[in-house]
Amino acid sequence: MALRNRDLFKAGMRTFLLQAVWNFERMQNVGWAWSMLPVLRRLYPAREDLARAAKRHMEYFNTHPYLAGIILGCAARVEERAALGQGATAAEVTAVKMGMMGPLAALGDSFFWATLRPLAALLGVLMVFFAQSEGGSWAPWGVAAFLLAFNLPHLLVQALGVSFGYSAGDAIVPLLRRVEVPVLVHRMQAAGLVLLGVLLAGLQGFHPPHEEGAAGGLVVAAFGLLAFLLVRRKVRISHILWGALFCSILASYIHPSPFWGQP
Amino acid sequence: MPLALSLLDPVTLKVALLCGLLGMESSAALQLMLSRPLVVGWMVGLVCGDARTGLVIGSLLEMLYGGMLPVGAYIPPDYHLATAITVAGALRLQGAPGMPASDAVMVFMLLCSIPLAQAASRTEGWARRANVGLCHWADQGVSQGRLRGLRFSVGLALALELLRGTLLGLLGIGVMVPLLGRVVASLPPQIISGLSRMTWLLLALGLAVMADMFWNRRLVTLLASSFAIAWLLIHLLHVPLAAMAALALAGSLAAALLAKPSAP
Repeated sequence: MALRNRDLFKAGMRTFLLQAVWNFERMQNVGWAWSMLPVLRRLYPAREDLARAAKRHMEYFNTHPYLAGIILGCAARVEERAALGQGATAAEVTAVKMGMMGPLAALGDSFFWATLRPLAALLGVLMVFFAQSEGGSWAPWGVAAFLLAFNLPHLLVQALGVSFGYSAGDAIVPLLRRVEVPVLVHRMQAAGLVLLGVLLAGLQGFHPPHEEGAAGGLVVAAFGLLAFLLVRRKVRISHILWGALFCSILASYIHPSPFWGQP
Repeated sequence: MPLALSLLDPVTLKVALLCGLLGMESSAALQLMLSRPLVVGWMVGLVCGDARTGLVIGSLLEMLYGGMLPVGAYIPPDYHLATAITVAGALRLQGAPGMPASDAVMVFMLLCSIPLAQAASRTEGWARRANVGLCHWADQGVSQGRLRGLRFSVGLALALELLRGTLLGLLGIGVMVPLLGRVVASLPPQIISGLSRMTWLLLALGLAVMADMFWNRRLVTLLASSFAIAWLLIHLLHVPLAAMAALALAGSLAAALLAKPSAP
């Protein structure tokens, strides 16, 4: 029997729980096999065939959770051709899965985790700090902005991923090759640096509760610059933090009258 | 407050349950970013009665944890637990008898939450090892044609995740916060002064982490020009910050659309 949109939709919804049984041996395999079940149930009405097909999907699987729907749609298409005897084999289903999961994991990690999430977070943080300077009444909009900025692309990709993968089928690899990740990342970096510039300018007016004159601001700015250089050199953030705490406490012992910050 | 009472306190229980739900959301289910510090700070702040302070602490932690990516098998620190402990601790201890200034308490809780979050992330490693057993059990079931085992494994793993997060939240808010409160109340004034001074250093460090995430030498002029224009608008033309936030969003969208990567 051919697949219906309903089967693909059910399978796509299940990818939201892809990582539920994440394990060190076969990673997302249980979530993946469970997500594929609505598709397999439709394609293999006989119990033995269904169990055999499900078993195939219990192999190692690991990709970016948001892009798993694309692989699922593509695998469903090949699985359908295999079930209907249209030239595909079970081995091809596995090959499609294995061939796509690595590149899509890299794509998702660099776009969603390393770029879009910090960008959305920066927007949210900017709004919270700016709202705080004006009394804080609209600060929760920062949370809304963060969630919207991140989840609109995320949910769009997850909602359309399965049908995109299913329509593209085998032709998906050349299509994905056309996605220029470095260009996307470059554009996101530009957006992030604009937000950062505005945030830095706005923070000048966000006075600490105990701020005392320009000396304190200079110390904080100098520390920020030093911290940036250390972070660029891959020094661990926790080490910088403990170092700053040590210096801060030492300064309190040496110079009880603070440059900034009233105890 | 005695420890037993602190554990049974309704706020403690609510925050612990929230930690359980967010622990599940952070990796096992949905991943809608509800477990990010910015959102958790606001939610825990709401539960504890001061959403504004929760938001500021959440923003600070969002920047500090911004660079930690859940790539591959790497398990990042349990940042939602760190945020819950910091926000709940700072809000519940502020104004208590014998407590120092609230910013010192906040910084102290934040610093203590970092090793706690790292320790808590180890329990996620244990959960993932336990999931190997669930995987084998489901695999065996599938081989024998019992496909319901898959649904059961997913449900059980989620329930265990909820339980793990709730217990960690209970331990963090019900036990660690009162204990850390006693420690901070007994610190000498010089250390309290040092902690107060750290507030702004934390913000500077957070900004440094964010700058590192977006750093691109070819785009430095963009950073400098957006800073200069925003500075003029805010400090000379006194444009309200709400309008500046909208302008920043528009500017960043424009920059994203217009930026063209040139050959290195």
